[in-house]
Amino acid sequence: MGETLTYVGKRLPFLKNREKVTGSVKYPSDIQVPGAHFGKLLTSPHAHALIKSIDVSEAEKVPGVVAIITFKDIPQKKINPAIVKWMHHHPEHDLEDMYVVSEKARFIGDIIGAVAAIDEETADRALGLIKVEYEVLPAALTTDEAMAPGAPLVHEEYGSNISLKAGFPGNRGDADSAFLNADVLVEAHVKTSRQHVWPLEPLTCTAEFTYSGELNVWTPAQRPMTSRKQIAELFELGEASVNVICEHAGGFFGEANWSIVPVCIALAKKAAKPVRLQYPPELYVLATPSREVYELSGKVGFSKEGRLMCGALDLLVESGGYFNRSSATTQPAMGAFQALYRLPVYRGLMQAVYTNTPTTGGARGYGEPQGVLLMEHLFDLAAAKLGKDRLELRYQNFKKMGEYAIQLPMETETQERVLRLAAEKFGWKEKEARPKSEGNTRRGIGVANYMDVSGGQPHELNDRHCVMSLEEDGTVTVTQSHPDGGMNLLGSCTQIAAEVLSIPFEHFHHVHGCTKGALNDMGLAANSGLYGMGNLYAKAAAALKEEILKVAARFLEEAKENLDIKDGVVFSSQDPEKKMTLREVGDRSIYNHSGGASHQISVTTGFNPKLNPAAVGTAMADITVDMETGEIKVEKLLNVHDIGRAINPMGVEGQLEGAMLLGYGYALFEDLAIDEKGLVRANNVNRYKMSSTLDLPDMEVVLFEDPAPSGPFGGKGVGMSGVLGVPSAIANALYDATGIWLEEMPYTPERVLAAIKAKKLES
Amino acid sequence: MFRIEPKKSEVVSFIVNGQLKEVILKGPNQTLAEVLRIKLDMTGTKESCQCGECGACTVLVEGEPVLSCSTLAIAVRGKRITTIEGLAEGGVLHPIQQAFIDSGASQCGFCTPGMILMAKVLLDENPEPTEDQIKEHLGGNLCRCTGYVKIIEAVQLAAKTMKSVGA
Ligand code: FES
Ligand code: FES
Repeated sequence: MGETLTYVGKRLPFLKNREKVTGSVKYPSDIQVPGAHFGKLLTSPHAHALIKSIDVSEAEKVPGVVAIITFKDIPQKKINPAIVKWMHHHPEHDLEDMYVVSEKARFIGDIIGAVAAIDEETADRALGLIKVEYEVLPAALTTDEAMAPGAPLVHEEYGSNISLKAGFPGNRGDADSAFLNADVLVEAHVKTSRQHVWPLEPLTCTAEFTYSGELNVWTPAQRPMTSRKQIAELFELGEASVNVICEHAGGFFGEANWSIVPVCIALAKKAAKPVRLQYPPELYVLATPSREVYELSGKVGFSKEGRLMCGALDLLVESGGYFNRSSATTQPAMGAFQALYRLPVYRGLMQAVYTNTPTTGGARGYGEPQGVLLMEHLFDLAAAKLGKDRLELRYQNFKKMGEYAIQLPMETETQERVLRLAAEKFGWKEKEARPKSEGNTRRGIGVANYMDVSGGQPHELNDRHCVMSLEEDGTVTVTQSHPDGGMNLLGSCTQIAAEVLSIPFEHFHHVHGCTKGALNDMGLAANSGLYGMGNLYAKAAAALKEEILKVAARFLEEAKENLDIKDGVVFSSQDPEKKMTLREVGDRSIYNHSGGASHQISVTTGFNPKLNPAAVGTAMADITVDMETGEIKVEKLLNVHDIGRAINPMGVEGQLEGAMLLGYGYALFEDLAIDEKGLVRANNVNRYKMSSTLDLPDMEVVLFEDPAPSGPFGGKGVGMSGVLGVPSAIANALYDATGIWLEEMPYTPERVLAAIKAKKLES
Repeated sequence: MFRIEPKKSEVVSFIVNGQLKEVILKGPNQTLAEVLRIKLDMTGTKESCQCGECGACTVLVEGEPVLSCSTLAIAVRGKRITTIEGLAEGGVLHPIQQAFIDSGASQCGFCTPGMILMAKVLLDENPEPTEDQIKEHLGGNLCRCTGYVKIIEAVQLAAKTMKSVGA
């Protein structure tokens, strides 16, 4: 292919952006199905309570009410709304512990019933007439309370609030004896906060059974095919009878939102009418899982020369009321801790604990930022103890080619070059030489390196399929089930296909975001988009090109080997007379009147990733700390990311910038703030602080490119990566400035100030 | 048996993107956002927080930005309303829309209509805003995807093109 690329590497406009800037794109929340009834949820006001009885008789009498569901009206089958069991190789770790609506209230906001009516007012009236008799139970609101002897049990059937204990599959060696042999031991603890990724689009579901018994569901679905599978299983429908539709979604940051779907379907089924259900903002953060919440204890041992010898990570996941992703995120968390540096002996252990608080799940980064946070801090602690430079100690311990990345072999060795580039761009040396104190502020800089994945393999199935066809007008249509969640994944994949086929980028059409008519696909997660879908598109485009050339060879009476495509024209390298446009090829192959059958040129392609090139990166933060108020001001955030190859640099930068800001908010202020009654205080945007332009720190993204052999044109994953290093770089900068390591996130002025006072620090 | 109870409904009219619209309100409390989105099926106006904090529902009333989730439809009767659907003219995008595309400032696009309308207000008043003025002006419009960097670039780019075409 040579190195002259026409589409790959170009800053092309994102797909469907013309529709987005004109407001003509339709999101699931924009869909108005004619005749749809209005759904409303009945939720628990108690953190923990038995439901002794629910009397809906008065509510049913309200004119205009078409369905009321409580526990007895739903499939008596437990599910896990994270719907990850379908792709995990250890589905038994994804505990299924939740009914469509609950039989017992496990947190404030737990859904215990729902109403559908002709309009919102009627639904509200009916809700108010449902009489629920609760027996309020003592609640376990923290992991300490939940693990205390005699604690109230959130799920009785487990006999304990600890639902699962598991090791990391890559555990190796005997950590306890290795620690005895280490010259320098360092340890650290942290309790992470409840960030809610809170996409801007409100979470809705519209469900409609057709008269032929098929089911249409409109909802923001990051994994439409898996949603379809879960719906089919739960409601005993054929998978192909369920159509999950989500062409565009108003943000995907870790699909955590499935729970509204079965409630809506149950209502539509009972009412035999289409129903639209929407979480009101103040319920949204209660009923959808937040970011994973961990208590982490990490320990590593070094030799006196500075060689990392052994490490251990103990991870307690606070599940909240239901298990959700309590296992799924801990693999990446335990993986991230041991990913980047050579660690001959490692023991990762997780345990999941239920509490009577809203369910936690998994969000952009998926456990990895926390693993990075701890390991990178341990490096700073060790550097201080060993009397070594922070960066030097890292260079010394990076893995080398021939070693494993996270669980599969490294494909490129870029860690050291990435860190060196970051140090240079950031001006690390110069910044480090500055005086630490200045008036009543202190300055600090922090670094965090990370190694991220390009998909969930080998832990997850990440198989994908698409159909790619040449149309009679010479354009290409690709059909697959993916929604567009804003990552411009389809745009990047189109750049790849356009490059392979040498067909203009604008000549592609997309049928997407609908399970009907699409082939199976495991959906988007774990940075898998570009690597998985990109490879799929590259493979399909190559196969389609073969088919086109085969047919054109017949039409042109030329050997196929002599044919190629350039800018949408098939031509012969031997005979300049022999050429035809793709329009001619496409049209003639279908409207073939000169004998022979009509044949549309089309390929069906699957891709099953067997490798997983590591996407490595470095974040650096320059901060000041106001020693009188405890306020951290981030002066500069830098993220260098090894993308392998940036298919669309503008898109990659955008992914990193957005993720960095999410990491920044995670470190400094985002938190649902659960009070001593188990109530989420920050339950709408007016109470939950999210970054706006007014909070925006000076952020810089630098792309590093060293193509990964197995990536499409060398590309690797990126979607989550920008979250991974930022919180850790900020935490390490705080430590650099003040010697303070906060054991609880986020790093609010109150917490920092309390630590300053406890340490009796002065500026 | 379900009986239709006569409701006190109000008819309001306003001009949306140059077209006269007459709407029967469900009641006096119906918001402008609901009327635009549901009654008029103009879903380009987005609703997210429904509490006046995210800016997604921004529309222009007589050229001034208004949060349509927190504005009653009756309060804007007889007024001229511009929504995102009304910005492109004759199939040609407004320079701000084009700048959002060229800068990669719209990812999921859910904040985009509100952002673009807010940016328009700024550039109409101040054709050469500084970066800080842009940040200040867009401070009430949340975006969860982009990290704002490219949004700010887009507004700067739009300012440039608007200046050069004299828009
Ligand atoms: S929806 Fe109106 S400000 Fe958020
Ligand atoms: S582009 Fe998604 S919220 Fe702004």
